[in-house]
Amino acid sequence: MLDVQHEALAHAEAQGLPTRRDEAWHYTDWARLIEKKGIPPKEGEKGATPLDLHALTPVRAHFHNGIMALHGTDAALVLVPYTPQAATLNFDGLASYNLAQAQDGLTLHVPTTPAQPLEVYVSGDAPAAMRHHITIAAGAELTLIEHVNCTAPQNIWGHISLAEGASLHMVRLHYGSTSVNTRHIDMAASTQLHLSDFILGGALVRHETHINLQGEQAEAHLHSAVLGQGKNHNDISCVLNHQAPHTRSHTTAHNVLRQSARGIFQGKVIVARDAQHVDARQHVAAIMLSDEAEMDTKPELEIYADDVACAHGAAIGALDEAALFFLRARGIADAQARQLLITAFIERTTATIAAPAIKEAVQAYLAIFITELEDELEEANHAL
Amino acid sequence: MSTLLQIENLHVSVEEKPILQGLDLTINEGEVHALMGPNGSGKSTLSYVLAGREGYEITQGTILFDGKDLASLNPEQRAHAGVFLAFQYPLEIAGITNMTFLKTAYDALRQARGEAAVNSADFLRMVREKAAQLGMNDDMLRRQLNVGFSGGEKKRNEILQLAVLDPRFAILDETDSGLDIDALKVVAEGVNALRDDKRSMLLITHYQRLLDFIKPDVVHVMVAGRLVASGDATLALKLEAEGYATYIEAAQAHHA
Repeated sequence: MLDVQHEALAHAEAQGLPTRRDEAWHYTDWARLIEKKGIPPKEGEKGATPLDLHALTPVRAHFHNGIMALHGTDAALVLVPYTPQAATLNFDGLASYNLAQAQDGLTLHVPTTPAQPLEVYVSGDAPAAMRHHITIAAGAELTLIEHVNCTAPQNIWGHISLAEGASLHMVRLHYGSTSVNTRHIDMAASTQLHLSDFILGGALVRHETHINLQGEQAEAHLHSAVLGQGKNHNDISCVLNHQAPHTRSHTTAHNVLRQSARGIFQGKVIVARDAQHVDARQHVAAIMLSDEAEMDTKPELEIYADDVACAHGAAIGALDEAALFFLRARGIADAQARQLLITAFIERTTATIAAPAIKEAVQAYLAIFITELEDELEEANHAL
Repeated sequence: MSTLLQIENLHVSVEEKPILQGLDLTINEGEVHALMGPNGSGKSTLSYVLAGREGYEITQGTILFDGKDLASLNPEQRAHAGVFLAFQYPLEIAGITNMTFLKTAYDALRQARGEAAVNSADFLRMVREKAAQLGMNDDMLRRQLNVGFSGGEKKRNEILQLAVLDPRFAILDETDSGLDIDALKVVAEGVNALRDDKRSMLLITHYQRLLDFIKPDVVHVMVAGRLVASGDATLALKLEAEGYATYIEAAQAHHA
């Protein structure tokens, strides 16, 4: 262990794991939940079968139990060996543990636009931590697809910085297992971020994203979809820190919650004093498919500038009965009509994926995923 | 000419409030009936009861469709049997394209009837042809279902569904409402093109105007959940001139 890791471990042990007393973790009492449902995964808890995108992504960084193996190369993807690096960021216990425990991570510089998307695949059957550092040079464009498909808890942390005019298109699919997946993204002037984030399984999952819009005309689009079932606890939390004028952010979260699943959305928008003409929008929607399901949503606005446009809204309810009747009246059977409406709802997130081939693959995958999930529940209901 | 729809002494309640109160109506194959009446007379209730919407409780009476008890079927089974309701307020569904919706519904009907699936290219060609007759372009087929459609476009889209799904019995619930005269003509032409000696229709409307363009075989007047008068197309003209007042008074006398 290096000094920096020893320090981090001491720090982590002093801080402990986040609890509901930490404001940012109010709905996700990690210390308690990890005891309850974290290790090992519960009997019968199964994740989704992952989406195979290998045909579209010849370059793949595969982490198994926290150690990376690289498949394929691209001149515009410059990788250097991992060394633990501290970060001067708002650290909590989990982030400190990450620094202390991570043995590997993607340390990547992107000088120019790569020819192909980069796929990061995380698998594992033992608890692991990973720590990524990515820099995207001015004007370069990176498409990143991240899969997390494990049977043991993962602590994933990453820092990404976009130099002027750079853009990042990121698609993330979480299939199963307990994990915390944190990103800090620094955005210089005229940068673009598009994150399309999917949580399809996992007893305890938190995706935490901190965006710092530091240069004018920086634009962040964060779109998430959560398909919660069983007793899954799925948390999407983000902080959009508008530090420069003329920056924009658009955040949407679509949740479909069955059985006693719990969905959390926290969206915090901060607009600095001099950051005039900021446009920040947030919308959360949830379809509750059972009386036991729960959705907690917490928008937060901290606005210090006086000429800004900030909006947030939430729409939470059952599946639209009128739409269901309309589809059935056209001959579409009840179960298929439900699947169609759920797929259409999630499509609002899927539609945000920029690369057409990847979008189509995710659309086809989710249509099947939702159909199978509904069919399984239908069978389970009949068995009762 | 054989009977397609036979409704006898139909009583329907919504949240325990009686809406239809002893309705009798027989529609033969190939006939177009118009159902007129003041607001709140139960016209839309009848359309929902026939299509099988939840919350409409039949407390008395029977509905036979092609000799079978319609009330025992769920909405999709009624569609499979050939019942089609063109909605007064067509729904917007984001995230599903018009074309995907049409194909899904079409496939569902064929599957339910034990017919072979149609390949996408042939289906697209058929839909385009029917859409063109209604003045709808490819863009309207690619767009999300009714999202951002004008009132007229939504109504045309209902008629497109009618043309594609080819039902034996179509209920048009105030398809004329919210249409300007040009849009009304397009919709009426689309409906007239679908008239034949097998298909029956029930046109629900407030106004005689629609009946200038779609000539009904029979016109009924509905007041307080019952049919109070029936006649040929001239009845609609009489209503236009005289209004519903005499029928409403008669209905009140009946209930009193």
